[in-house]
Amino acid sequence: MRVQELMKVMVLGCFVVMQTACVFGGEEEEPESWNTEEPEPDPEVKAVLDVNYVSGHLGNYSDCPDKGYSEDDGASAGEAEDSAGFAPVAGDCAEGESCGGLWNCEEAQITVNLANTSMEAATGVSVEMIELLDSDGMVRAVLPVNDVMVVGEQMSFSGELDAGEMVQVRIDYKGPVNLSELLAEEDPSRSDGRSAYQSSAQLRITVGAENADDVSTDTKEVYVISDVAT
Amino acid sequence: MKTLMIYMASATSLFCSSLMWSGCTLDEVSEEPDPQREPVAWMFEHTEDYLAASPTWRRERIEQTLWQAELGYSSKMLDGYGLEQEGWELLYAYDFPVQPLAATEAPHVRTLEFEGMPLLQNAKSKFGDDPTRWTQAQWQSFGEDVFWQMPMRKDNYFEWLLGQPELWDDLGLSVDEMGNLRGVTRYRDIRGDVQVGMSCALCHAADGVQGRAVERLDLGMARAKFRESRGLEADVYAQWGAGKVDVTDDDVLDPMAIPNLWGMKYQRYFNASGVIRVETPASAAIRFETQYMMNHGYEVRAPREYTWALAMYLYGLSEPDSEPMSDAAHRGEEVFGERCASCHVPERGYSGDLVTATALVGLDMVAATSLDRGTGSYRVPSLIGVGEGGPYFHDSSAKTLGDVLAGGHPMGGELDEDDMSDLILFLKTL
Repeated sequence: MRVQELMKVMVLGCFVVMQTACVFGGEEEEPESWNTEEPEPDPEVKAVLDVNYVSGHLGNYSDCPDKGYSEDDGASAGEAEDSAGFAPVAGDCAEGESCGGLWNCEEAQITVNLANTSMEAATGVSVEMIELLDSDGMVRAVLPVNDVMVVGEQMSFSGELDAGEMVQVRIDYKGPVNLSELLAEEDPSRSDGRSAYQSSAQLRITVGAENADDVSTDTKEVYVISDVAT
Repeated sequence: MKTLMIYMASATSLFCSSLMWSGCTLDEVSEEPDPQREPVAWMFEHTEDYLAASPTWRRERIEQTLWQAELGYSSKMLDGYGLEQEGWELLYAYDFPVQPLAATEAPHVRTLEFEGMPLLQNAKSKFGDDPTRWTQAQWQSFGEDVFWQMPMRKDNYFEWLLGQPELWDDLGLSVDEMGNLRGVTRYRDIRGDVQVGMSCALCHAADGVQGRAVERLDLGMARAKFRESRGLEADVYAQWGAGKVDVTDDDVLDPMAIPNLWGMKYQRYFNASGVIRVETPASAAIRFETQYMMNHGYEVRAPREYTWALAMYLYGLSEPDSEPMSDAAHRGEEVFGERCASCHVPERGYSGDLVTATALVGLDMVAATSLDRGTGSYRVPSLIGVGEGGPYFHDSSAKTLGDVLAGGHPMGGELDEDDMSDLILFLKTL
C-alpha cells in the first residue's frame, strides 16, 4: 500500500472511531438537571482568587511538642498560636547566659502564590484553613494558622489583592507533633514504600476573601523538616 | 598532569571506538565536550541552556538522576522539583548576603553589625552583569566563593557551639589565616534575620585544602553537647564519630564518612549507595539546588548561577600531589591491573559503577538498605588521592590502606604480603 493510501485509511479510521465514540457517549448518560442550570449570580462575589502551592514542610516539634498540633488540640483547631520559642538559639541574650531556643524545634510553613485573576480588587483575603489529609484524601486534622507573611518583604500579608495581582506568601502554621498519631489507621510502611516511618502527608489550603468564593488547593506530599539531611 | 593523561587516554579510546562504530568521517565528529570526561568544559558550553531551561527540561534531568524514584530521598525531591506551574519552580530566587565570621567575634555573634554583600551581586560587580558572558575561570571563581561562603544550612546547635570556643579544637573547628572560622558564614535570611551558616568548606576543606574531607570534624558530638546543655537525650548523636554525618532522613543510625571532593569528576554516582546518578554535570548542579532548598526550609531557592558555578568549581578541583612511581609501585600497578581494575577502572579515575551490597564481604548493609537512600548497592569510589590517608569505606571502618586489604578486600580475594605492600605503594601514587 502506498503511503498516501495508508494515510487516507488512517484518517477515515479515526473519523469512524470519533463518530462511534460520540454515539456511545450520547447513549451512556443523560446530563443531570443541576448540571445544565446556570448558577445564580451572587452580587457580593466579584473577585476571583487562585491559590498555587509552592513549597513547605510540616515543621519539627521533637524538642518542643507543646508548640505543635496534637490530637488533644482538635477542639481548639483554628486558634492562632504564639510562635515565640522558634527564635534562634542565642537571641539577643546577655553574654554567657544559657538562653535561646531548642534544637529540632521548627515551626511549620507553607509557601503559596495567591492571585486575583479577576478585574475587581479582592478585599479581606485570608487563609481560611489548612487541613491535613490522609492517603485517601480524608481530612484528619485542621491545623491552626499562626501568621501569613509576604515572602521577601518581612511583613504580614495585608489581605488586599488588586485586580490581576499575584503575591507569594509564607503561611506559618501549627504543624503536627506526631504525624503517625494523626494518621493512625495508616500502615506506617506504606504500600508505595516511601518511608518506614510517617514523615509526610498532603495538605489542603483554603483561601477566601470578603468578596470572593473560597478556593482550595491540595499540596504535593509535604514532609516533616529533617534535622540532619543534606 | 595525571588527570590530563587519564582524559587523553580515555578521549583517544572513545574517539577511536566511536569512529569504528559509527563509520563516520572526521568532519562529522562532534566538537561537543564529553560531559563525563570534560565536565567543566561541558558545563561552560551549556551555561545558557541551563540558566534558560524550562521546568520540563529540569524535570527530565532530575528523573534521570534519581533513578530509584520510590526511595524517601528521591520522592521528596521529585514531589517538588521541576514541576510546571507549581512547586519549587515558583520559589523566590534569593541572592544571599554573606559575611565571614572572625573567630574572636564568634562568641558574640548576635551582637555584631551585619555588612554582608549578596554573593551573586558581588560576582556581577567583578565580572559583569550578564553571567552568560563570563569566562570559564570567572564561573569557577564564583563557584569558589559559593563553596566557602554560601550557607549550606543553619543549625541552632552550631550557633551555640560558637559560644563555646573551648570545644572548637576537640570538635574539629579551625581558624584560617585571616582569623576567620573556616567554613562558617554569617548571612541574612529571607525573613531578614541574620543567621550563622555552615558552608561546604566546613566539611570539605581540611587545613584549607579545597575538597579535602575534615576528618576531625565531629558534628554529632557538637549536637550531643548542645543537647546535654539543654538536659535532652544525646546518645544517638554522640555515636556518629568524627568525620562522619548521618545524612539520611530516617530513624536509622547510619553515619557516613564525609568524602573528599576531588574524585567527584570521576564518579557516576553520588552518595555511598549511589542514589544520585550523574548523567551529566547538570545532575550535580540540580543536586546542589535541591540541597540548598531543603536546608533552607524550602522557603527560597538560590539563584541557579550559584549551583552551576559551584558544580563547575568542584569538577575543576585538582587532587593533591601524590607520591612518585617506584619499581615496587610499578609491580603494584600490575597487581592492581590483575585484581582491582575491573571494578576501579583506570580510565574512569579508578572508579566504577555500583556493586550489589550482598556481594561485599564485611561491610555493613545499613546504608545500602536504607529506605531513604538505599539502592541495594554501593558505588565503587574513585581512588584518586586515596594515598592522602584514611579512614576508608563509606562508614570509615578501615583506618589505613593496610586495613582495607588485610583479611581481604570486601570483593573477596586475599593478597600475599609482597603483593599487598606493592599495591599500597601504587595506590599512594594515584
